[in-house]
Formats: sequence, structure tokens, C-alpha cells
Amino acid sequence: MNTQPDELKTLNRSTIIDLVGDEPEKIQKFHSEFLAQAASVLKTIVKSFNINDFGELKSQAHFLKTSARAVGAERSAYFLETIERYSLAKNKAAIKQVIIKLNSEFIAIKKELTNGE
Amino acid sequence: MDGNIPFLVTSKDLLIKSISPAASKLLGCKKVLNLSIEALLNFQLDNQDSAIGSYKNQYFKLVKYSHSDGYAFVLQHSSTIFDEGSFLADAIDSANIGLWRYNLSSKYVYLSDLSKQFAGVEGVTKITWRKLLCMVHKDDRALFPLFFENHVQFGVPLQFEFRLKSSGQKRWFSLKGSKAQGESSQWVNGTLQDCTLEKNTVIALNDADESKQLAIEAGKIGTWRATKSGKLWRWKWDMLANNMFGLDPKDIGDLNKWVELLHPEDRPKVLAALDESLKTGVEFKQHYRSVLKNGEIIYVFAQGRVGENYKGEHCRIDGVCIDQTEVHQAQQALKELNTELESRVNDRTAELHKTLQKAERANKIKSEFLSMISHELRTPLNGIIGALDLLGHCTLSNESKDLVYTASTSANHLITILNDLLDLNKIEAGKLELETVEFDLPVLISDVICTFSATAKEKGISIKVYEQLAMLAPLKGDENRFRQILLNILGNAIKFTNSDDIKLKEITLTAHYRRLNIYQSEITISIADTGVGMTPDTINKLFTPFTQAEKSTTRKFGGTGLGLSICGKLIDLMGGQIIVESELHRGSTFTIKAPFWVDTSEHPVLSKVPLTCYVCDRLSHDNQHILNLANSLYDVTEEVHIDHHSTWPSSNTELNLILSCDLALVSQYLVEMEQLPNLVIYTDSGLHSQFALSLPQFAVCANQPVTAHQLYAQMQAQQQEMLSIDDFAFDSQEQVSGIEAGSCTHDILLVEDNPFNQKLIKSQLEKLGFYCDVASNGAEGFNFWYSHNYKLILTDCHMPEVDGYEMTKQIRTEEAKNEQPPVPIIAVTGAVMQGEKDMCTSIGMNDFLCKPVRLTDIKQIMERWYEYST
Repeated sequence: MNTQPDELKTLNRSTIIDLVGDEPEKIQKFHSEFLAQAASVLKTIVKSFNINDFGELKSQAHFLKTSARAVGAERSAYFLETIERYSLAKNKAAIKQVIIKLNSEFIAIKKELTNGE
Repeated sequence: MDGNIPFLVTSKDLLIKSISPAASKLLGCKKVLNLSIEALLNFQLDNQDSAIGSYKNQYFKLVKYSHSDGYAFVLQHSSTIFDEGSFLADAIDSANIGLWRYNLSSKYVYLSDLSKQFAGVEGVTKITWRKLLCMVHKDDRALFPLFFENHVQFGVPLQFEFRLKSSGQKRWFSLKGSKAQGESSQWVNGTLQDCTLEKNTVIALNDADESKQLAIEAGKIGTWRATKSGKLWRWKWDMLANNMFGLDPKDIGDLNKWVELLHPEDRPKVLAALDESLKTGVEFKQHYRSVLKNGEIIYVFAQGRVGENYKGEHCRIDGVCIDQTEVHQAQQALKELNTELESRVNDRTAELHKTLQKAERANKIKSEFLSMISHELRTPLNGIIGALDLLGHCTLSNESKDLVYTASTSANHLITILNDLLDLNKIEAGKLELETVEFDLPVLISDVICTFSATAKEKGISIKVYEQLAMLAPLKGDENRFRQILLNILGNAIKFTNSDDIKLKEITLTAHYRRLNIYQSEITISIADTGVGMTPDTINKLFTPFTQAEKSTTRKFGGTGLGLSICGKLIDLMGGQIIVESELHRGSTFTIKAPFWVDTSEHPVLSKVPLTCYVCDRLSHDNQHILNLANSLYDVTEEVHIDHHSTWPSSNTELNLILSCDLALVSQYLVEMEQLPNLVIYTDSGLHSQFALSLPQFAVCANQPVTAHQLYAQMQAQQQEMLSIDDFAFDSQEQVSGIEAGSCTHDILLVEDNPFNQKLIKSQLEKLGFYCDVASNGAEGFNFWYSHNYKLILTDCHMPEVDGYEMTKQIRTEEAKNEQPPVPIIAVTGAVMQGEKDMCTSIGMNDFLCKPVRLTDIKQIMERWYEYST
């Protein structure tokens, strides 16, 4: 990814339009699906973190990353990729900070979607 | 002539031609040749053969003898100019009297040495009448011809005073003289005396007398006096006093005339007082009335002092009398006015008292009514809020959700208003009692800031907090009421700063602690905003219930106008104050000062935890504030300054802090930073996002708004190894569900474990007019392929159990075994690296798609492989 981290968007709405076309109802459905998946996977990520299961951490991060990219959650995808990277290095302190930031991003997406509705 | 005889030889025009040795010795001078003998020896011959001259305060008799070329003058020492002996000369000298003589015919002037000294004339200088007059003050010059002519012609005494400029000073001189008939000419002889002292004294006395007289006349003060002659007192008073009592001029000095006019009621005491003064010498001081001849009554104040003679006997009394009728009349009028006013005030006070009693009764009834109504309304409202809350948790359409949200917000707003009304009632009824409980001020401030920080951020308002709470002692007071005040004022600041017209939206909260004494301390919290501001008139009515800045305020910003009124009353109860400063269109500052008790009970003293602080590049203003907070909360053992050329020193502490606004500089030391335990990076708010994204592995916090309590909490959080699952649970309305594995009915198979991706790709295919069966992993995918004839398989690569690669291998093996034509298998992968592509090809996959799959990409694949297969 050549984009600088600070140029990444919390929610790039044009991404999902490129994937499914400009169909607001369908897009809204995918956004909601993503948030639901994110809430579920984040819990799994936190559980894996607390028991030092770095393999599962990487796998869960990778799993959610493709969904995040699909809805244009650029910052979330970036954090998930970072978790994958630090899981390989088993750098727990770094993973902890990225999970905290990832959580804030999901909240920001939820707020943005709520305000945008 | 014998040289022992003192003589001088002159020409016909009296110029000295020679001087005998004896004359030279007598005069004490030699260089006299060609000088005028008259000028040298200060005499005039006046057609006579002898004259008296003087030289250097010595007098000489000169006898003239004629010879062919001129004259010879024989000198003879003389005691005086008059030559009648030294007695008269001594007397004149000792009296400091100057002498002069003036020849009326020749206008010759003779001045004695003292006279010359008075006139400031050098000893040998010849003085003329004209020169002398020039030295006289210009106002006095006319006196000379006037007096001299009158004297000579009419015998009027020649005696007057004039001013001369002597030694640069103006001095007064007294000139006296009389005409003397000489043998051949008329002389006026006289004396000249310096009378400056006497003259100045007389002038000053006249001035003082005139001044006193003017003052007395201006003040309408009469003077009176009495002197004792034998056993009789002789009385006298001036015209002012006489006129005051309306007496005739002939009555002056007749005491009985004055006594007759005394008011009968005052007469005995006045006469007794006068008698007492004359006898004992005590000061006479009386206010009395006099009845004038025309019946008019005047009010007089008289005062006099008694004087004694050398024997100590009371011999005189001098005094003044002042007509105070006008003053008395004014006083009388004022007294009457006061009496009237007092009477009116008493009447009005009684009326007000009655009105106040009525108002208090009405207010009590109003309070009871409001209290009752508020309670009565709260009960059903609580039911409504509870029901709406439950309804909100039900599955509702978006429209219904909106309606429930609106109803819930309105109901909660109504509850807030009712609570405010109850508070106001309680305070006004004096029923509100303040609590005294121990509380933590930094926690309170942090709560207040947290309450509004999200709202402020949404509205684009930046909040800054600066706490100066060094030496803060545990406090006791009504925490909740103090919080209520702070919440209200900060809430107002946000409300009135959130306007489209305002470019710089900023709120600054500063907290200051001051210990007053061992039992009390004072907290000062100032909340300054850059909002709409207020006029002085608005500030004046700010704390009145149900009053807002302007009528338009309610429309534009909402609110009941109760909040500040309650704050004002609460702070009064606390013994504090709220100071408001504001400027329209510039913003407002509310300063809340409140006293609190110091909790004097013993508290365990906790030692500060060591912390290392790294300052990367310059310290910004807000990072300086973080450093100050860190110093107050922790034992900052090291403050390390880092620049682009530094070697990052290792840390010996368990807590580490980096303060920086230079991302490039910080990024230079990532490896070293990753070694630091429990590290938090603080940066300016504007850089926070950039820092947080570029340094995802570190805790990055914005340095504003940060309270002391938040800084402590943020550092504490770093020390927690585990994450609490509760902190990462956010509500999601949707349930995660995959696509149920159905029957094999379509000619495309999608193998994907991620339900989201399943739905996404299925939807994309449907949009292009294709339909697919969905398998959730490789094993399921193989079974689907085995039992059905597919034209195309799209498969994810990384899946649990059997992944995409393994499934492809199995399919290709089975196809080879059964000599079946190979089905096109397309990899749908998130990885885009070349190795991944090579692997896909090597195991028999035909093509690949990168996630997320765009419609155009999937269309191309379908055109390439699905149509081909067909």
C-alpha cells in the first residue's frame, strides 16, 4: 500500500460503490454486516490477545481485513494488517496499542454511519 | 609757597596744576593733576573764597587765593561739612542720615558720602540733579518738582518719601529739607534717610487691615468692643453691627439700645453671660434673638474675648456678632423637610412591609404548587422514559426508531427542566442543604471535561484544560452541587460557542487551588469561551430565573434560563461567587470561586512512581502543560532532550513519556522506543491523528484536553497487560450470518469462509446476471463439485480445515483420474504478491482475483472463463 497512513480514511464510501454499484440500500446492508462482523471478530481478537494466541490473532485479523477493505474501512484494514505483522513478531505491547486504536476506528465508523444515515 | 603748607594750584577753570607735598600727604593721594578740584573734593565755590569739601570721608576747609594764572587753594582739615564742630557730624553719622544741598540757581547738587551711598553713586562721581532724578522710581519722580516748588514758593514743608534703586534693590527713602538763603544764591539743604523697613511695615499693616475689613464686610460680621475706664465700661461697635440691629448711627456705643432689642426670652441669659465674661475673663459666646424696631426677629451669634492690662485686670473685651437669620431659616426649612420625609418613609415602609408579606405568601404558595406539580409530573414521566427505553431495545423500523428517539429525548429534557424547577424551589424556600463529603477535585474536573469532550469535538470546538493543583489537599464539600455548577457553565460555553458565525471555537478551563488557612482552601475555576458574548445589560440579568440573554436566545440556542439562576444561588449558598466578564461577539469568561473545607483527617502518603520523560525537539505550550502535570503526579527522574543527532538513552523507569510534535524525529528512533516499557506519546491535538496512524504500535494521546486525572489514568492503562473484553464491546444491530448451504442448483461455485465476502461476491455476480452456490470451506467445495457439474469455481485461498489450494489439488486429481475436462478455478485472494500468483498457477488454478473484487474485474473473469466454458 503506497498511501501514507495519515491519508487513509475511516470510511471511504466510494470503495463499496465500486464493488456493488451505487445502491444505497444494499450498501447500508453491507455496512451493517461489516460492523456486526467487526464487533464479533474484535472480541475474538481480544480473547486471543489475552491468552497470547498469536496464530489465531493473525488469522482473525486477516479474516476481518478483507471485509474492511471491501467496505472502504481503510484505517481499520491498516490496523488489522499491522496486527497481522506484529502477531508474527509476537510483539504483544504493540498489538495491544493497535487493538485499542482498531476499537476506536470501529466506533468512529459506527458514528459516521449513524450520522450519515 | 612753603611746601609744608597743604595747598593745590589750579588754572582759571579750576583744573589742578600742582599739589604741595603737605597737601598730597593730607589727602593721601598724588595723581590729581588736571582733575577738577571741585569734583575731587566735592565742593562748589559759588563765587566765594572759601568752601567745605570732602575726600575719603574727611572734610577740608578750602581757602582760595588768586594769582595771575589761576588760583591757589589752601587746605585745612575740618571735622564736618558745617564746620561747627564734630558733635553734630557724629550725631548725623550715628543716625545714618545722609545730607544734601541743592542750589536753586546753578542746579548744583551736593550729596554727602552716605547720601551718595544711598543713591549708589561712586565717591568721586559728579552727580547732577537730572541724574539723581533718573535713579528715582518713575512713579515717585513727580514728587520732587511738586514738593520743591511748593516749598520754595509757598513754604509748604519739604517732606516726602520716594523709592530709589539702591544696590539693585528698591528701597524707600525719606527726604526732608528747607530753603536757606546764601549770600549770593538760594540753597535748599536737607537730609535723606533709608525708611524701607518702616515703609514696608506700614504697607503690610495697611494691607492686612484692608484685607480684614473686606473679609468682615463680606461675611457681614459686625465688630464690637468695650474698654474699662475706672469702674465703667465704655462700649463701641462698628457700622456693620449697628446696621445689623437696625440702630441709628448715634446709638453706637449705647449698650442699653442693644439690650432693649434682645428677645425677652434670651435677654437674661445673654446679659448674665456678658457679665460673667467681664468679671471672670471667660470667653463670651452666645446665640440669641433680637427683636428689631420693625418687629423683625433676627438670630445672632456673638463671641468675644476679654483682655487684661499689665496688672492682670480685665480691662477690655473685643468681639464679633454675626447675623445667622438666613442660616437659621434654612435649618428650620430642612428640619421641616426631614420631618415630612421621615413621615413619608415610615408610611412607605409600612406599605412595603405589607406588600412583602403578601409577596412572600404568594411565593410560598407558588413554590408549593410548583413542587407538587413537579413531583406529580415526574412520576408519569419516569414511566414514559422507562417505556421508551424498553421500546428502543425492540426491533423497530428506522422511522419508528427515530420517533422513539425523539420522544425519549424530549421526555429526558422535560425531566431536566423539572429537576431544575425543584432545585430552584428548594433553594428559594431555604430547604436546600449542602453536603460536606470528601471528594477528589481532579476526578471531578475530569468528569466534567469528559461529559462534554465528545460533544465539543463533534461541533468543532476545541477544549483546553490547564490545572494548577500543586499542593492540593483533600477537600470536603458538596461535590455534586459544585459539579452541577461546572457542568452548567461549561455546557453554556459549548452551546454559545457553537455558532456558524464563529471561526475560532475554543474553550479554556483553568483550575487553580489556594490554601486559605489550615482548615479552608479556595478553588478557582475559570471557563473562557470564544462564543457569542454578551452586553453589560445582559450580564446584569444573567442570574435571574427564566431570563436568557435575549428573547432570540431561547429560539436559537434553547434552554429555560434556569441553569445560571440555580448556579448563582448555589454558589451563594457555598459562600463563593461567579464573576462574569464578556464582550459581545468576542466571548465570555465565567470565573467560579468556591471555598472548601480541607479534610484534616490523616491520609496515607503515597510515594510518587518514577517516570522518564523524553522531550523530542521543542516543547510545545500544551506539552509543557503535560510535563507540569507529570511532575505533579510522578517522580520525573529524568527529563531527556532528543534531537536528530542524539543517541537515545535507555530508560531505568517502568513508566515512560514522550513529548513531541516532530513525527520525523520520533520515527528516527522507533527501535529504541519499542524497548521502552509502558510508553505514552503526547502530541498537539492537530498532530494526534497523524502520530496515531504513523505510530500504530504506540499509545499516542493528544495533549489537549487532558486533565491530571486523565493523564494518570492513561499512564495506568499502559501497565495493564490484559485487555478487558467489556472495553471492546460496541453494539451492533445486525447478526452475523453466512449464506445457508443450499442445494446444488447453479453452475458457478463460490468457496469462501467469510460470510461477508460470501454475500458480497454473490451479490456482485447477481448484479452481472450470474448465480452461484456457496460452500464455506475447501472440503465443502470439493463435495459440491463432486456432486454437481459446475462451469466455474471461485475460491478463497486461505480457509480453515481444507484451504483453496488443497481443494484445487483434490479437484484436479479427481478430474485426471476420470478424464474429465478441467473446470476453470479462479483464486479470490487478499494477497497480491507474485509468489501467491505463481503458487495458484502451479497447483492448477486458472486465474485469480484480488480482494476486494471490483465489478469490472469479476466481469472480465466471467467473460474470460464462464463464456469460454460454455
